[in-house]
Amino acid sequence: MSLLSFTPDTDWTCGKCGGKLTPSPVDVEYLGNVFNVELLGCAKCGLVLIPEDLALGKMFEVEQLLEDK
Amino acid sequence: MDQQQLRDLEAKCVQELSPQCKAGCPLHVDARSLCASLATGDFDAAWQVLLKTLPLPGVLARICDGPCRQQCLRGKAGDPVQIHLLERSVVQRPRPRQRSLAMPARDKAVAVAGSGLSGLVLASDLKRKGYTVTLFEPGPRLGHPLYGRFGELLPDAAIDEEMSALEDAGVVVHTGAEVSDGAFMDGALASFDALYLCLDAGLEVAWPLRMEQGAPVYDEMLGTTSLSRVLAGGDSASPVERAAQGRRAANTIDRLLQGVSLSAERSDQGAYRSRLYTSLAKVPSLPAVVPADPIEGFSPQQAAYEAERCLQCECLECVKACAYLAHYKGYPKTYARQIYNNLAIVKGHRQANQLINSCMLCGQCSALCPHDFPMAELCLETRQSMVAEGIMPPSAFDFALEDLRFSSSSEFFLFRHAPGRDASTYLLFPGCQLCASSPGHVEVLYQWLRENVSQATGLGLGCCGVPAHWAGERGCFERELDRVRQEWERLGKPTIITACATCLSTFQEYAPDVAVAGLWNIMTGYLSPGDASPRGAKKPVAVHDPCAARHNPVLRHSARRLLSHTGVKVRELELAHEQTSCCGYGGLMYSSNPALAKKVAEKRVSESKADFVAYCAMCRDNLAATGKRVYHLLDLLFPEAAKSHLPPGNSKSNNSAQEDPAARPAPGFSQRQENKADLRRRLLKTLWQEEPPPMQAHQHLDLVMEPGLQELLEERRILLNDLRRVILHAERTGQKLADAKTGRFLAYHQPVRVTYWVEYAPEGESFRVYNAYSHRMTIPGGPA
Repeated sequence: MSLLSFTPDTDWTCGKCGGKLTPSPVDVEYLGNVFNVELLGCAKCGLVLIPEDLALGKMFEVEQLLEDK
Repeated sequence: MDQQQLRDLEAKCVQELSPQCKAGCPLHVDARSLCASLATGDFDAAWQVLLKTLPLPGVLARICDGPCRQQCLRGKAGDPVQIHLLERSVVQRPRPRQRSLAMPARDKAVAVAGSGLSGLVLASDLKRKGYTVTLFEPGPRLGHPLYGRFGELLPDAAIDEEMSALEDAGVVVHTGAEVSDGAFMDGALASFDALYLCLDAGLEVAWPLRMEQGAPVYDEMLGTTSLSRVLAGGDSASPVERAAQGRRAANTIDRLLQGVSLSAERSDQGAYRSRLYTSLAKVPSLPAVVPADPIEGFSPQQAAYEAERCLQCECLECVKACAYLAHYKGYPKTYARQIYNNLAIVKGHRQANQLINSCMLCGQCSALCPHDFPMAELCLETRQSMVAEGIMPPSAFDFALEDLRFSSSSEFFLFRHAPGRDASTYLLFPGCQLCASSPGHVEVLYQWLRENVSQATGLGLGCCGVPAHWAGERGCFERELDRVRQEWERLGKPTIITACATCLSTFQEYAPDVAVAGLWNIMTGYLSPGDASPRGAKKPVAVHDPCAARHNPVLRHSARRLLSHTGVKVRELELAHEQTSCCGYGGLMYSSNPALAKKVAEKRVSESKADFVAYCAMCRDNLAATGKRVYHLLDLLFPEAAKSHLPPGNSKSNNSAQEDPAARPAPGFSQRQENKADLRRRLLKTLWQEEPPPMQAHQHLDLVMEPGLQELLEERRILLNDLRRVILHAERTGQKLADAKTGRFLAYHQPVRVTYWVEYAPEGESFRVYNAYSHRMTIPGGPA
């Protein structure tokens, strides 16, 4: 499966180390289903960014789909 | 649920059953569809309706004696629809082109003696089924018995047309045939597989059949005689019944020649009474349209007027009342099938989850249904199965179950004897929602009970567990209920007085060992007319019964008695008492389907222009959230307590709420939790002189935000305490994103199942919140 990428331009930086957010592969999980996606995150501190439109858009859609599976 | 249970359930819903006209027609002509077409002037469509079921329509439609009229429900509100005249008006217009779909030819042959109506219909039906049909008519022409018999009603040309159609279809005709003696019968049985004796052809036969009073004995429904391959029929006085006898005999011959049961599954043949229920409650009486000319019949315009009088009978009693049932565009029978299929799916998309989880479980449909269709039980049992099988969508009820956990936590749960007492005769259990909605009323009520009913009245703050019950979580429900039961036992088993009709019915049904009474029943024993004076309720109010009082007439009566004591004028809603509508909270619809819950509340408040009064706190708030003016019964009984409903610091609102409690806004979810927690803390302090336990660290965080954002958070089901936990976590661990340009932070945290994101910035001692959202997917390895 191709890696889905959600790496918009952003002004957010890591609040812990001040580092820039860079695209990195992350596993997200729901109801036992794991998806590997590319998100912006701090490679050093492990923080990721899930923007509002992703959480309430695609992510919500997939959650609903999995709940009815 | 197995197939048989599904079928039993489906059979309770009568919506798909035939209307009385169709059931009462021996040929089951779909008169309802006929009227629907004619009401719009569509004669072609009306013709098609006739062609579907009416044999020889050019003849029968002209001479039908209309036994359906006696069954037509319009007859109870005016005159029955003159369906027979409508049929005539149709066949007087050109017949639309018809694609004939003849069945493949079969190698069986049937002989018919006589061409009266029954014989012609039988010949027509069997020819259509692919049999070779040969008709023996003693007279000079096919259809001889019909010519001249019906006067002007049935002109020769109309008969000619149908007879030609029969011959064109391939029916072999022998006119001038000698059929009366036994030799004909023997010959026919030698050459044909079956023989039909048309008794409406004026024949006198000397066949060796069992006879009574000079006529062959035959079975009215099947047409069978004493000889196995000889059938007879057609001696009814009614033309349409004669035609139906021919049709039923044709069916018997078809079965005979196929070697299957002659009688199985034929109970709905012939005229019968349908179980379809149709309400005539709002049907104005309308007289029949008189045709301009008794022979010509209706003009097209008159036909449309007459057809418009048709009630288009259907049931839908439940769907008309319930916005939920209407929303999914079906009715209980179709829903039962969808729910059954949903449970049967092993792999694939479960399309009915939302349907199952949105039902208010309020039981209104069963109260309205002529056969008590148990939609609530069906949905509840299905939810319980889904939970047991681990296929319940977590997002459906999580929010409500979290609220239940809050009510059971040390933030709210409290069971005490009255201050200074070590025994309780009574125990006020207000119910979690009254505490959430108007904590001030709980305080006033508790004082009133101790002063007027018994000083030995303890207090119980908690939840009866019904949200878990509605969510299908049986184990959780039992635990919650048991927890309350244990406290009740610890306090010496006092009689519980509850202000919540749902708590009352929950205890009564699921904890029958617990002594419980409805607050309103208790209060009627202590209040008299004039004891309470309503403020701001000078106009009449419409009473909204909670769905939990549907089966509790005493409670409904007590609430009305208390209302009358206040002097306020009471109006009854059309759907009241046992037929009352849910406010949209029942069954946790507010959690599983908030948009529909809003519609449900809006539909309810639109039923009367008067202000409403509710005697359930949740009903009051859900209905008030639509913008409707809604009182709680306690607003009218204890008007001075209204001021303490609102969050502190908003004196303007406080004053207006005191003046006008009906306009009090419904508190949001965050406010409801805070009201519950504050009530517990305040009561501990004021009544028991105890210092409440210290607040949790996150609760000290002061948040500021624009009012619009607060509304959005309510919609997104994000509580202020969720925000506080995220911010506290971010500030303690430093795990947050930062935007140097705006000076804001973005942090996320997953306290239980949902991950919350908050965009915020410190502002003095407080935190200003700019946005928040959530998701259920988890980020393993992310900050927890």
